[in-house]
Formats: sequence, structure tokens, C-alpha cells
Amino acid sequence: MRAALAAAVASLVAVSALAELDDESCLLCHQYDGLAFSGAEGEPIHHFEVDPDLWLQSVHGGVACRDCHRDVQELPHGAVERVNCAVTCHVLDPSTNRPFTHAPEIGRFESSVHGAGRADDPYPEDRPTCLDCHQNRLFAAHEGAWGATDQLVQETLVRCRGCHQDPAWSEYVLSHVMHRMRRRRPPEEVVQLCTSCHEDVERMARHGLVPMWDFRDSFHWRMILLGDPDAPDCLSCHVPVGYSAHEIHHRDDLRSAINVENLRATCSNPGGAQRCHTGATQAFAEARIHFSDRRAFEIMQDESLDPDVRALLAQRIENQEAFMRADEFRFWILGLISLLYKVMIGAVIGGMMVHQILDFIAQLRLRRRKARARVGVGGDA
Amino acid sequence: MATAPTIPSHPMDDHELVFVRLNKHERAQHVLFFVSFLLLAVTGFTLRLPEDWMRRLGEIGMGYEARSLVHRAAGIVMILVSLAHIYYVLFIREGREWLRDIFLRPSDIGEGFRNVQFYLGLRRDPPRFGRFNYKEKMEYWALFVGNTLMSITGLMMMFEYLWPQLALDIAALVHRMEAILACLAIIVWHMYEVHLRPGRFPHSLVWFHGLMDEEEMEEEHPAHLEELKRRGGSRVLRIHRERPEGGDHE
Repeated sequence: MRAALAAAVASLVAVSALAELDDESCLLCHQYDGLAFSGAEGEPIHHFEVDPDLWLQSVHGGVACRDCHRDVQELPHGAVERVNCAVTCHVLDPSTNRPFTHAPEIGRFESSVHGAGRADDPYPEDRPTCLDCHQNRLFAAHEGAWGATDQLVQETLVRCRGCHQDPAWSEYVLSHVMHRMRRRRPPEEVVQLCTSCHEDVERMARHGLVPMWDFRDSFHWRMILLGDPDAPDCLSCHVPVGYSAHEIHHRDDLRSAINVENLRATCSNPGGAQRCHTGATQAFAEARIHFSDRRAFEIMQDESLDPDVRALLAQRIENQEAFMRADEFRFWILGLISLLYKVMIGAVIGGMMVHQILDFIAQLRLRRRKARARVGVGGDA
Repeated sequence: MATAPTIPSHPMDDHELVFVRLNKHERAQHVLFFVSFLLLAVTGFTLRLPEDWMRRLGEIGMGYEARSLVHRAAGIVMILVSLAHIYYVLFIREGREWLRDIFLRPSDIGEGFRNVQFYLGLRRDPPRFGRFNYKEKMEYWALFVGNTLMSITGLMMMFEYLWPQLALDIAALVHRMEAILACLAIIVWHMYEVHLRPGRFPHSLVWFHGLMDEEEMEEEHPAHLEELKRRGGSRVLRIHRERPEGGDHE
């Protein structure tokens, strides 16, 4: 045991940055795989091991343990509270030199569509909190961000170290900047994240919402599947450049990117490096991407669902009768064209096949007859 | 016309007639058209593959960029070839003859009817078809209509930002359904005609050399053959018959 501890200490000393961050030696215990806590029978097991290498490559890699786990006052410590992201930590915000906190972001989030009314909600556990979306991600690889090669990154680091003495600090800051030079999650992951709640029929219906149901029929979704790194995911339209994911609002709110006043800008994305539908007309931008009301209508008629849930959705439809009528017409006309084509394809291709089979038989007959005739002529001669 | 097919001939005559079914303009149009058609079909139906297949294509880098670029480029090639063909049939002499010969006529209905009677064994011989039979005319005009719809709806989606939703949705639906119809029709109608038909298997090379010999003309387009023999013209070639080495002179 002593030898193991000594080896652990030696390996820690080797990593100067970590030694600095871990000057209270939390890793003496927390580096061990299997350090876990199991509550009562049936409750999930909590894992407490920290891989020091991975930790250093994560977005919180520059933050010491007790900057967030502030209620640990003595060693060994007992039960520790969940981290509150709104605390003011000991890290100084380098832009203001003041202690850093996520509190302003949390304040904005709590006034957004995801947070507002949390206190009066009969199902507050349905609403997202920081940790539902943020998981202390690893820094994205340096290569590939805006065409950066590994060589370019190494060159840049050499320049940083010209002034900044601590090489690990330079690498951390550069990693942080490069991490933010692109979208943090691949588009498919964003869709998975949002739909993990928004495709859940019951969960949405409890809040009078219609689950997202038609994105996976869209061209946007196919672009994602085909691996376009700039393919449009949920955030591309709901949180385009200039908006914050912490401040998503209802589409009737002027602060929403999908408010009718903002739609043209959202589709053409003038503030972004990526051009989407440049020159989008108002008529194009006002396209309704998710046909929620039609889906609401279907759910309302689904008798396996809670009657209260269906009543909530019925109310929603009544409020938006005009939208509903627009949907009806659209689906009617598209259905009609589709039906006409199906009938035509069946009749035309079926007719063609019959014709060609008859032709095939007739050609064989004709060729046999000609062959016989040739043999006959040959015989006569 | 270096690649004329071998022609059985009368021993007394060392000249043979060969007929230009497709001249070099027509062959060039056909090659550009079918190459762009194949590219469009492959890159277009990629979007209807199962999700896992699309994801795999994306992983190996064959997904979005290449697919959309090739599809648009091939679409533009097809539109340009179609415009060139319209110019050809309106302003070039041989093209104007083409248009005149391929126009639908009431007599096509009778020919089609008699041909089906022949198929069913109610007639001993097929009708004596002219330059374009009813099958070829139907295919040509179906392609004309389909190509027009595909070009319009394709261009609408290429300039998607101009259109309201219903127009775009209809364009996408028509583009998709028309593509299914076109591909199936090409397989059942055209691929059968030039690949699978008895006597043609495994393929006809007329698209390549453009020529038909007298025997094939007599089988497929006898009325046209009579007319060409009567009036001649640029579609009839008189070629020197190649004798086997040391053949008759031995």
C-alpha cells in the first residue's frame, strides 16, 4: 500500500500542472479506479475516481477540486453536496480579474423557456439543469479547427511560451480557445441531446407541449447523417450565431430566433461563418419546420394516453386553428400528388412489364421461325 | 465510321449499305445524358438509403459534400444537354428531320395495336415500322416531360431560398416520385430494349458506333429502310465490303 502510494505520489509530482491544481492531494485517493459509493439497495452507484490525464484535458482542467467542491473542509471528508454551478469559485476571470461564477448564465437560463416557472411546475424534474447538457467535456482536438494542423498548434504554443512561463497553462488556454472555435458537439449529438427530452411524448405532453416528430424526415437530418460537419442541427435554427442556448424563448417572444420577425436572419445566418440560406425571402423563412399541430391532433386521438394530457393538447389546437387549417391543406395536396404518382407508377411500370414480357416471347418465336426458314433455304440450295 | 458491323453480302457486289441510326451529335447527346442520368440516380437515391447506410457513407467521407456537388453538377450537365438537343431539333437540318419523324401521329396507335396483336399470336408479322416505332416515341416524349419536370423542380430546390414552403414541398415530392418513375421506366423499357431483348443480349452498340446494317433495319424499321433506299441522304452510307484475306482471288 505504501509502495503504491509512493508510486502515485511520484507520478503526480511529474505532472507539475496537476501538482499545482491538486495541492491538497485529492488525487491521492481519487485517482483509484473503483472508488465508488453505493447507497441503499437499488440506488445507483456513484463513481468518484478521477483520471488525472483526462481531467487536465477537460474544460474544467484548470480548476482545482475545492474551487467547486467547497463544502470539503477537512480530510478525510464525509458526504459532499452536489456542485452548485452558481457558486463563485476561486478562479479569477482573466477578463475582469474578479472571481468567476456561472451565476449570470444560470440566471438567464432560469428566465428562458426551459427555466421560467420551474417553481410552480408540478413536474419540475422534467426540466433541464446545467448537468443535463454540460458534462465537463474533453477539449476538442486541436487539429482541424479552421484548418489548423498539429504543426501550426505546436508553433503557436512555442510563441505562447515565449512570455508565459508555465507550459501547461499555455496549452490549457490555447486548448480552451481552439475548443470554442467550432461547435462543441457534432450535429447528431446535439439532436440526440435535445430529442432525449423532446421526442418523449408523455414528458412533453405533461407540459402542454408536442413532441418533436418530423425532423428525421427532413433534408437537414439527412445532411447530418451523411456526415456534413456543418449540417444544421436543433441549435443551428433555435440558437444561431448571436443567440445563447441558455436563452431559448417561445417563438412568440421577440427574443426568439424563430420569432417571425427574426426568421429571415435565422435562415440566412448573416452573423455566422457558415452561410446557410443566403438571401432567404420572408416567404421561404416562414416555412413551418415542425408540424406540431398535426402531431398534437394525432396524439389527442390516441386513447392510450392520459385524458388530462389529451385535454391539454386539445386546448393547444383550439388556440391555433388557422395553423391547423394550413397544415390540413398542405398534407391534403401533398398526399394527393403522392397518390397520383403511386397510381401512375404502378400502372405505367406494370403495363411496361406486361408489354416487354409479350415482346420477349414474340421475339423468341420470330427468331425460331427465321432460323427454320434459313435452314430451309440452305437445304433448297 | 471506322467500326461498321460486319455485313453479310452478295458475292457479286463489293459495296454495302449501312444506315446511320445516330449521328455524332446524337451519340454525344446520348452519352452525356446517360452518364449524367446514372450519376443523378446514384447521388439522388443516396438520400433515401437507410439511416445506417447514410451514416456509414458519411464516415468514409463519401457523404454530403461529394454527393451534393456531383448531383448538382450532373443536373446542370443534363439541363445543358437537353437545351442543346432542343436547339438541335429546331435549328439543325438533321435534327429537324429527327423531330418530324419522332412526332406522335394517329397512325402510331394503330401500329401499337397491331404489334400487340402480333405479340398475342393474332398476326403472323409485326407492323412495318418507320424510323421511330411507338415504343421509341413513347419513351422519347415521356423523357421530354419527365426531364422538364425534374429540371424545374431541381432548379427550384437549388435556389430553395426563393420559395414558400408549399412550393418547395411539392417540388421535392415531384422530384422524388418522378425519379422513381424515370429509373423504373428506364430499367423496364430502355434497358430491356437495348440489353435484354433476344438478339441484343448482352448489349446493343448502336449508341457507340451509331450504325445499323440492312438486316437489322429490315427487322426493326422496314418502312424507313425502303424510304432511305429510295431517297438516300446523309443517313445512308455506302461502304466497301471487306473481303477475307486471299478469299475469292485464290
